[in-house]
Formats: sequence, C-alpha cells, structure tokens
Amino acid sequence: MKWTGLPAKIWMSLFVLFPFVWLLFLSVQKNSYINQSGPYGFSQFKRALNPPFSGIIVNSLVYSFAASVCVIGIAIPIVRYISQLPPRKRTLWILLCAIPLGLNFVVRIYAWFVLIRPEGLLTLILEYLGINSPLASTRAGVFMSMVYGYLPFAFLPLYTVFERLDPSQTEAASDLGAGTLQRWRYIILPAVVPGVVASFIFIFVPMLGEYLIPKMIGGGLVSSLGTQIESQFLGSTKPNWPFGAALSLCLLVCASAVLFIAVKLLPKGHSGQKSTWSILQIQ
Amino acid sequence: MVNSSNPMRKKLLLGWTVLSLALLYTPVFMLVFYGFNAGQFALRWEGFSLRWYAAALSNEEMILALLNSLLIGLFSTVISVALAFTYCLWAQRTRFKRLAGTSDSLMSLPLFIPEIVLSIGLLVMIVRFLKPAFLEMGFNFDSLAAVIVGHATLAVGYASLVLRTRFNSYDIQQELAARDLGAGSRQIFLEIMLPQIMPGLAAAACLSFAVSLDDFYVSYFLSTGGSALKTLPLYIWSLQGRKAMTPEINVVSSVLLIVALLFFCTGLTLSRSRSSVENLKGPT
Amino acid sequence: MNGSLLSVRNISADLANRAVLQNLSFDVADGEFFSLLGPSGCGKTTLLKIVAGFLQPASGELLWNGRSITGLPPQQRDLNLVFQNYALFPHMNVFDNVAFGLRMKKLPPAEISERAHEALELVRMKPFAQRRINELSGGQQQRVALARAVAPRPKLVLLDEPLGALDLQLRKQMQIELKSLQRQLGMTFIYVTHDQEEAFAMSDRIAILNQGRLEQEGSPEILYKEPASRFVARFIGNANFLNAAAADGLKANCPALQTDVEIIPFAKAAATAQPNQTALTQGVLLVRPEQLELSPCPPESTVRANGEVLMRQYLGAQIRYFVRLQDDSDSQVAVDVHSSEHSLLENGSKVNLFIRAQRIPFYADVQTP
Repeated sequence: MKWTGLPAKIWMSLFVLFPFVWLLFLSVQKNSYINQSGPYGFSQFKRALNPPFSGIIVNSLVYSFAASVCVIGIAIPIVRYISQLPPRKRTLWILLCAIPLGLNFVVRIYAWFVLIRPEGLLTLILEYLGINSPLASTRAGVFMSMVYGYLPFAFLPLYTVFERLDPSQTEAASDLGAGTLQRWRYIILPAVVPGVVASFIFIFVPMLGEYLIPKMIGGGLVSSLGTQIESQFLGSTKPNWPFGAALSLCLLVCASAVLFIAVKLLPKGHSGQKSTWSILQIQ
Repeated sequence: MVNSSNPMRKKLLLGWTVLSLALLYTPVFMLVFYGFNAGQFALRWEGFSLRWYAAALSNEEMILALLNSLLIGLFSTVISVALAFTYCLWAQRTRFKRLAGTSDSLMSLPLFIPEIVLSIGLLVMIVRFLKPAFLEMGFNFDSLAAVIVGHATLAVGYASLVLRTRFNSYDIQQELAARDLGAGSRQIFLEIMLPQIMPGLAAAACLSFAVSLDDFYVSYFLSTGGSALKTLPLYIWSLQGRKAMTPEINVVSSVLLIVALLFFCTGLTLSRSRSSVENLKGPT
Repeated sequence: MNGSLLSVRNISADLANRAVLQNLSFDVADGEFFSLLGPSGCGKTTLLKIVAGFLQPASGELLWNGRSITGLPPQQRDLNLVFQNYALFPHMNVFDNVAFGLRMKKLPPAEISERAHEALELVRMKPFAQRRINELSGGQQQRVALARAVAPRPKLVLLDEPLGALDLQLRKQMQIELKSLQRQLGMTFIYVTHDQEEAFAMSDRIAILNQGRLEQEGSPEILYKEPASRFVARFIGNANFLNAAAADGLKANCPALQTDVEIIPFAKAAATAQPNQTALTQGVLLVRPEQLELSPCPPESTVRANGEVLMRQYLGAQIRYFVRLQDDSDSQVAVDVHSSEHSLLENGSKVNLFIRAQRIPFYADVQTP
C-alpha cells in the first residue's frame, strides 16, 4: 500500500504540473518557433500586456466578472425558493437545476445559438417587442450566452449553503425585531457567503478562458483571451507558441488572483475558507 | 418559515424560478424536437419525420465520431479509475496526512484550472516530448492516444474525489476485525473492501466516462482543432460552422445528449447514495 | 503462575516516539473476567492491540499457556476482539457477520450455520439474523459484535470499551448480560474500560493503568479498600484525603479530627518510618465518605466542633454532606450517612466528625531531598 499512490502522482505531475513549467519556459523565448531554445527575454509578456492584447485581457476580465455576477444574481432567488420548499419538492426542483450540468456543453451552446441567430426564435421575439439589435456576432450576444451557459454551474454550490440555513435562526432574528433586509444582512448573507464564493470561482475561472462561446456565438468577430490563445496555438495563419504560452500564463495569473481575492474576502476565521473549499470539493 | 409567509413574494420567486429554468431547457428541447423535422433545413419546421435519424445512421463520419468518443471514453475511464483507486488506497492509509492533503490538491488541480490552459499544457507536453519519445521507440503517438491521455488526466480529478469520499466512509477497523477473525489479505480485499468500495468505483467510472464524452477543449486542442480526429462534440462543432445545416446536426446532438446524460446521472446517483457505514449508529 | 492463560511480561511500547506502555506485567487466569481500567490515554487500547497482535511491543513478551506468542500474526492467535466502534461489516447481514470468522476457519457450511445461530441465540439476536447492520440499534449492533467474536469459540475475548456508546440504562443491562455470558461460555474476557463502576460490576480482577504504567492489580475489594497509591484511591470511588503525620508504621495522628488511627502504610511510609523513629512522616489518610460519621454539635456544647456543613445532597438511601474542616487547611470532605438513621442537617450547622473504620490507608508525602 505504501507505493500505490505513486502512479497517480507521477501521472498528474507529468501531465498537469510539468506542462506548466514548460509553458513558463516557452513563454520566455523571444522567437516564435516551437522547438528552438533561446534567446530568452520577456518580449512575449511585453507584447501580451500592451495594446491590443492588454485590452482583450481587460475585456475578458470585465465581461467574465459581470457575467459571473449576473449568473449568481439569477441563481440566488431560485435556490432560496427551492431551499424553502418541503423536502420532496426540493429534491425534484434541485434535480431540474442539476440536469443541465449533464447536458453536453457544445450541444447546449449550439441549441442556444440557434435561438439567437438572426432568424432564431429569441431574436424574433425581441424584434416583436421592438428591440432591433442582432445578438449573434456581438458582445452582448456573447455575454448573454455566457450567462446561459454557466447558469447551471451556480445552482449546486449555492444550494448546499442555502439548504443548511436554519429557519429557526431567521425566525429568532425576526422575533428579536429584524426586518427582511436586516435578516439578509446579518443572518442569511454571512451564512451563504462561502457558497457564493465557491460558485463564483466555479464560474469565473472557466469563463475567463472560454473559447467555445465567443467563437461560436461571436462568429470570429468577438475576440477574447480564449480565442487569442487558440489562434496562437492552432491558428492557420501564424501560430506563435511562445506568445500563446505567455497569454495562457497571464490568464492563469488573472484566474489565481481573482481566486485569491475571493477567498480573502470571506469572513474572517478558518471556517469560511474551509467550507468554501469543502463545497468546491463536493461538486 | 418566516420568509415564505408572504404569498406574493413566494409567487414572484416561483415565477422567476420557472422562467429561468424554462429558458435553460427550451433551446435544448427545441434542438431535439427539430431533429424530427421532415424538411431540408435545420431551422424551418416542415412536419414530423425520422428521415434524419436514418440519414445519421448511414453517415460514416458520424458513426466514426461516435465510435471515437466511445473508444476514448472507455480507455480514459479505465486509466483514470485505476489511477484514482490506487491513489485512494494510498491516501487513506498513509501516515503522512499532510502529504496526502497536498497530493489531494494535486489530484483535483484539473478541476480548478481553466480547461483551455490544461489543454494547451497537454498539447505542448505531448507534441514536444511524448510524440518524439514514442517515435524513437517506433510507436506513433497519434491524436487518439493523445486525447485518451488528456481525458484520463481530466477525469482523474473527478474520479479521485468521488472515490475519496467513498473511502472516507469505509472504516479501516473492519480490516482489523476481519484479520482478527482469521482473514488473509486477499480475503480482506475481496470480501471486505471491494464490496463496499464498488458503488464508488462504479460512480467514478460513470463520471469519468461522462467527462470524456462531454469534453470539448482537450479533444479540440489535442486533435489540432478537430482536423486529426473527431469525437462527437467535435463533429457537432464542425457541422455547426458549415453553411447549409441539415437537421442531422440535431440528431447527432440528441444522441450525444442522451448518452452523456445517462452516464452523468448514473454516476451522480451512485456517488450520492449513502454508504451503509454512514448509517451505523456506533461511535466514531 | 499456574493456570494463567495469558501472561504479559515486561511489555513496553512506543507510539510516535512516545512511550505509551512502560514495562507492564500481569497474568490473566483461564476463565477469568479481567479488566484493564484507566483514564483515557493511559495506553489500555494499545495494550489490547498488542495482545490481539495488531501492534508489536518494543520489548517484552506475551505468553500463551506458557508459550511465547509475541510475534504471531492476529489470525493465528486463539482470541477475538470486540471493537470499540464494533467494526461490523456493513455490507453483510447479521448472520454473515457472525459467520465470517467461522468461514475463515473453513468449517463445513452446516457447522457454520449451526454455530453462528448458536452464537446469535446466546446474545438473543437470532430473530435478527437476516437484518442489515444499519437497521439495528446501537445495543443490537453491540450484541452482534459480541456474537461475532465468540462464534469461533476462542479461548480469550478482548473487549475494547464495548459499552461506551450505549446510554446508561442499556449499559447497566448489558453489564449483567456480559458477565453471565462469560460465565456461561467459560471463556476468558479481558475488558478495557475507563469506567470504574463498569469494571467493578463485572470483573473478577482489575488492573489499573496510568500513563502506561501498572498502578495496581487485584480484586475490586482490595482496590477499593487498600488502593496502592493516591491515584488509585482517587480513581476508584470517592476519596477524602486528610492530612496526617505518622510516628511509625502503625499509627498516625490526624490533627483536623484530633484523633489517632491505625494505618495501612504504603511503600514510602513504611520505608522512611523505620530508620529514624523520632521524625514524623507527613502524609495523607484515605477516608471514604462512608467511613466518616458526623454528629450535630449544638452551639452550647463544650466540645469544639471540627466541621461545618457546606452543602447537602439527598441521594435516596444516603445523604451526602460536604463539610468544611475547622482547621488551618480549610479543606472539604464528603460524608455519606444513611438517610434512614439521620435527620437532615441545615447548611452552616456545626458538626463533629469521627472516623469509623479500623485501619486506614496512609500515603506519605513524596520526600523532596
């Protein structure tokens, strides 16, 4: 039993940890060739952190953040509603929320895409309502699709904290004279923050590197960090792996920074951070 | 409950919930529905027909993609479950609990880094090192092998999480009891441990398979944008870009939806099923 | 020793470089109900694991009917263990749990079935044979664990705080059942517990462990009446310690009660008393609450009262008074009196205390050189 842990650890080091080291090595090469080593320098990073790429990075950060907030904002009332239902109904509803997680992401986004194309149902409805703006190939469309695509990921982490809320606590609070706002401020929010942070991490990090949605919905007209990285590695015109590696590292740094800040924002003490971690682990 | 005492508020919340879930499901239902379209085009309804299902069955490209997906799923599942199982055996028993904690994070790392970064990491690793190394030995490490390795890496994280919780509810003291009653190592493994870990193994396998079926990024990057090899999601991706879309894409999507959902739900149910140990009333 | 089934000889053990057991020796006779009693963390579970064969001692020897079994793996020892948390196999039903040990012995199926049912009968669990483990209550699980351990008919059964998880009522009932089961089977039981009452209720002999050392070994009566150390005295029953000075190994004077008593001297008192007859040995007397007698002392009485009632607990058959001694030490003692023979005294009453017992254990203070 002493050595059975080794194969998995070697595998993960080889295919997850080591590639990072290699990306790091790749990103400090000045030339754009794959197999050449040296000369070294930070020119790739310099390029990534200057326009137009800096703008793309900032854009991706802002849009992902806004979309994450939207997703959580939509999900919280739903989860709150479900968590107050009687147990039987609760299971049914939360199952309804969880099933989309098992539906293939490509298919789901494609299905959504069909709806927001110029001749799609949603576009027609919007036109009927007097809103005449195309959704496909625009930033607004990509943003909406992000929210649509990532909504299912928010339910379960939020549900785990809302389910744990003890109704007698809010009852006690209102008994002591707290109104709805005060109940949320002092009782509910502190208790659910770990779940909110967990779902935020869950949504924000993959969104930041999202390639599929901007590519499919944006139709090549909306560029994001994800599409840029893809074109540096697989692009038909002029692939540049060292630059792609630098961009990926920027993405990773941004994701880690947000993750770090999110965890730091948690209520003081070990319990908040620990429970976020445990919620992340459960999913 | 204080908050639900207000019926107006409750109705608003219900409305919001129904609306959001409807918006979540409608596109998918419509997609499946249009797979039964009799017409030429994916987007205009012309009556019910199964012709596109028949067409998909005779479409070699689609069958190949399906076979690729199943093959990759199978191999990557075997690898990831084997790795996760051996890992959990170690992690549960090691005396070095802190080391186990660190390696737990290593195992779940794929769940926390953006898939695109994981994918290009794998791409770089395979193109730069694995491929040349295997060529040296006379093997062609092709896209199929690459995608299998990639999916296995992705799935190990999920598999070990699921198995770890199962192992946590498995009381090692039972093995002492069994040994005390005269059982040898083989008997303990086969009669005590395996029957109790089995649901966890099945859950891990189902989830790994679902992860593999679902994956887009790793397959996309390791098959250079789907040109070298097409899994089902990549095939749908390639159809979507074409000018004239027939309802065939809806058919393929429906098939993928059903198969992946099946594995996902089975895996989830198995992993959430309470192990019998947790119901024991004995002290901890 | 003749007739001893298991002899523990100078066993020492370390866990994580900390000495858990230090040079332990005792014997367990065939057919005996033997208890290992000690506070949690005293090493009793470690000792049990060494006897069962799950741990190897750092030094020392285990003798089984006089032959060493120190290196023998658990499978080859003719003893079975009842685990603290039962360690039942949750994926098997009650019958399969009990039959497991018999199956491992490769007995014929008919015999396995017969003996497993017999064992279940013994613990009155036969109607539950087909139940799943998680459908049983804590007490029922406890019985199954017991049946599983005795089904292979080992010479020795080790029980590791098996009643710890049960509520008080059930625990009392199980104590009686365990004891009668042990008699009926004629097996040797080694019972580990931290509960003094439990050990007293069942055991023929008890070994008291403290911090990995054997404090004392003997029958419950000896342990109660003549505890070998202050630790044992405090651990078993209620103990009042009264300051006293011993002139020789036979008598001591207790200033608080203004009396002389005959003493049972222990170790250091006896050793230090002899060479220098003139020096008094300072120490304490162990007086159990029921060995004290108290009588009310009216204010007009000429006798100076030596105690004042602080608090009273009515316990049914007895009344327990907490009395503050009227000397410099200002210490408290507990006094038990029969409720039928005494009228209640109010808090603050002045009382006179007497010692009723004949010979009192005396523990000399540890000399600081």
